[in-house]
Amino acid sequence: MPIRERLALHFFGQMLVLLLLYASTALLSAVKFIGLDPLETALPYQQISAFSHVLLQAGLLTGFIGVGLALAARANLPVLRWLAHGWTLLLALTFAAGAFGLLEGRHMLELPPLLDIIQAALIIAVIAALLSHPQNRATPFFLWALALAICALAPLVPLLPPADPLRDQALSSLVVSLIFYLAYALAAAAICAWLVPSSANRLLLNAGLLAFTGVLLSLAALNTVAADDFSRGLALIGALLAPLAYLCWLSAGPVADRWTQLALFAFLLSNGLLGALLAVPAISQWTQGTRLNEAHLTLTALAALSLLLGVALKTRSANYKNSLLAFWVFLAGLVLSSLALIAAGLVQTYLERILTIGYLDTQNFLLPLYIFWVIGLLILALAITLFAFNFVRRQKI
Amino acid sequence: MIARVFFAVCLLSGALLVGAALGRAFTAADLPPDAASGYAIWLNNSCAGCHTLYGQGGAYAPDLTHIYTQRGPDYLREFLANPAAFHPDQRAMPRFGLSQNETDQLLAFLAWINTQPAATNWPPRPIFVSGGGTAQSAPVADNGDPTANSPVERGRALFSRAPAICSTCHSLEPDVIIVGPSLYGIADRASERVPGVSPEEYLRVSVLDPSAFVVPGFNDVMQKNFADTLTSENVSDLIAFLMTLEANDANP
Repeated sequence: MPIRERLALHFFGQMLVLLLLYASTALLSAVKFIGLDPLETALPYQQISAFSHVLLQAGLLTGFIGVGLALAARANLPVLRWLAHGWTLLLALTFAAGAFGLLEGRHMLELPPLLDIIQAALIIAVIAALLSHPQNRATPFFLWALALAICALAPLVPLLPPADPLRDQALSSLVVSLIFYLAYALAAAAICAWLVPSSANRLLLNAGLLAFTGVLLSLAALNTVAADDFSRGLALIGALLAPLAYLCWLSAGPVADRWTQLALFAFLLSNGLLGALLAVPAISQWTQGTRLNEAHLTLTALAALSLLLGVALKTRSANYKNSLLAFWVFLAGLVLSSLALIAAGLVQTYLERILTIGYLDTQNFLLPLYIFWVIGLLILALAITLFAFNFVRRQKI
Repeated sequence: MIARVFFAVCLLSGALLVGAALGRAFTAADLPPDAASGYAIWLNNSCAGCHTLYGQGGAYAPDLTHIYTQRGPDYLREFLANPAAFHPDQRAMPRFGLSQNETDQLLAFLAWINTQPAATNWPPRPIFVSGGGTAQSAPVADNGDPTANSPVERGRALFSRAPAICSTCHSLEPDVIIVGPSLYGIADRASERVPGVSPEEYLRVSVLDPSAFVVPGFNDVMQKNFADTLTSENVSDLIAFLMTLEANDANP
């Protein structure tokens, strides 16, 4: 096996470890919603939830780097080896920061600022190392690099002064939205074009539409913080364009495998439909801060994850039958956890926001849906375990 | 070539729109020093990991955009000192062990959040911590300002609507304690509570000066600013409603 592919597998292996840790911490977070929590005060929700966010983001970023290495035509291997060591060290520091409760209080961007900066530097170095080879300068590679650069640099923006609470909050929301609506969509478009060269013909047209829509939908995150008619109007246009953009992308050509098909469909549902609906100002004023937002972000992250698992599988050439089992279990977990969260969000919106029943009273009504959500997360954890087992077992052979 | 130009235009226009939206959406906010310190406490304790402000943040605990006016500083001070004591059967908020000064600074931050222009536009209807409206009280006007109907109906609406929102702390079910005592049958009890004081007067004083008549077995934690936040008509309406809550017909 070429050293470049070995390096890619190294990153995919790290991604799987992070995903297993994420699955465990996400389960611990979710269990706190159903009231059976012996760690209620010993391990408060905000700590474990922040830890799971950080692990998920780190896992996805690691996977995206692995994809770049797997699909690159050439690579500067000595430099990339050092960068891989640096990335491993960063992941160890990230884990330590989470385990010792040293994460920052920035929702969804909880990594400490110093680690944010190191992470951004390492990612930019990886991009530069890969792009330094002329053979790696195809359009999908540039899109992959752009998406990864957005993921790396965007979290640095809210660190800039001034520390005005409203501005900080708006910037944080905007950054998270740009990562989920713009960066993940661009990366997915690039990876799909790589996997299915015939679909690359309209790549830039689709990516342009996805990027423009992603920006408009991201502006909807400002609706409750500091919106004016201008940004509300943009969000509305984005909401109208989003289904169109994702349908155009889906119709661009055949897709490679089940994991990629699932990823595309999940992207259509998350960003193309649910995200678009939640961006409509007349809707978002009622739904902002409900479980519907969580459902959207989770579904988008799982869509990106599905894509990464597909590439990892292809790189590993792993046993198809066992991977098929992991796929169906993953699908079941994705559907159950997403549907439970969407249903919980709808019920919460109706009871808490429209009927103005108190938050805590509303949560009692949501208990059955939270139980389904936890079961869905449990199934997802099983799927990742199955996938990881298959991945590691084949590597020993 | 056309595709490249299209992509570049999309990307560039997207970047310009973000810049334009941010430029229009913000003005430099006047953040008092106390509120700035409170914001640091908010960040250091990862409050946004569980709570939302303007619907942004974690969704594990209630939105706090309007909590300062809904609960009042006295109640919030008591609450922050020992959160788990207030909702024993619900999710427990950790005890952060804030000093008196830190608590005041955090409250200054929450008060500041509540006064920002965005807070006047969001949410469309109040978000309560507990209690709040019910399906039965939904017919009240969307703005929560019940101006039609009789005093009893207006009082009933105020019971679960801003600016009074008595239902946040008081239940109408017998023996159900949220924070304060249940008001089931209060019309009967009010006449017996303080000799020489009429039930209407007892209720009026209890709303406007809660420390005057603290019910035995309860702490003096009721919000103290109703004299400022309620009009005299509001208080009269509430009393008219409370006087209908007899033991055999508590919620007519």
